[in-house]
Amino acid sequence: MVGFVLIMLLVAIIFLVFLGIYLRGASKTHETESKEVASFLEAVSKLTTECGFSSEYLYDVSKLIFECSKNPEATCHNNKKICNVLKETLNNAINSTWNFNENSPTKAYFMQILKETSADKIDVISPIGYIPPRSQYEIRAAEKPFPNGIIMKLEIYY
Amino acid sequence: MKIQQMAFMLVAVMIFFSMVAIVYFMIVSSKISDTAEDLRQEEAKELARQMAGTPELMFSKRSSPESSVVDLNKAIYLKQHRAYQKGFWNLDYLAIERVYPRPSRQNECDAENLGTCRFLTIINNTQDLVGTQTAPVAIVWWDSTLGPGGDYRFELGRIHALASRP
Repeated sequence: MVGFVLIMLLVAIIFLVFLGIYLRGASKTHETESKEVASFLEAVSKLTTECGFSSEYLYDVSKLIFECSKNPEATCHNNKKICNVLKETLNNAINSTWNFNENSPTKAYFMQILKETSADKIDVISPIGYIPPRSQYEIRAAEKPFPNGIIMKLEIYY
Repeated sequence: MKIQQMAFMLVAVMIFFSMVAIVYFMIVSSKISDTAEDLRQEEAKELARQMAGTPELMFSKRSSPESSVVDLNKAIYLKQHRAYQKGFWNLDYLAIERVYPRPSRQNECDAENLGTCRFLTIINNTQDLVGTQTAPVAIVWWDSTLGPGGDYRFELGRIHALASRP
């Protein structure tokens, strides 16, 4: 009878250990490449903005990224800073495409535009959005490369 | 007596392992059904994404096609052709929505209001839109206010597609 109890205890402990490992793996945040996010980045890079050489010749987002990375103080025809217009445009585009509130499946987003230099990566604009504090969200992410080592990254937290 | 105890113990061990196996297979089968559902949804979303790359909707400038950009001017033209509404793409519903800049009105697009409208419904063969999948796309239309004589204006949109039910 003692042997039976010992075997049961041993099996129960092994089962609990496996269950613990399984649940830990399931609760960890995991990032997946998302075609939807990739399609968004592709589409948003072509977006005609309200900033340009003149009110008739408006830049697209790709051009704003290039100009902002070249000179962060550069301005549009309406004297707004190119980097600020870029940030505002991307922020509005993301919020128009997904809803981020308690009742929607998408909870938060985090976007970065980085420029790779020989030493490290620097932010072209300060990151948009935030990384939520709890780490059990599923992340759907994508990147879009631009010339001159610039990368646009977007993470959507579900 | 000892043999009887042993037999009871073996039966108990068997029952215990059977219960563990049942729990394990329940977890595994629920994961498989989740994965199958994800795949079905992904396939439907792929259909929505592919629609932006069809020659009938795709934007091309000076003979260089851009596969992820929907030409609204072409789409308006398609809407007027009945041939595309019945069985050409095997779709029950196909619409393009302007997302950003957000239009001020919620109206349907036509050739006159292309700059201010929100929806362009090309195919609408069903009342039941459950299962419609969407994908972000760039949309483009000819804006006569840009440039000296007009230019293409790119915006952010969504394509909505629902495959025909068998």
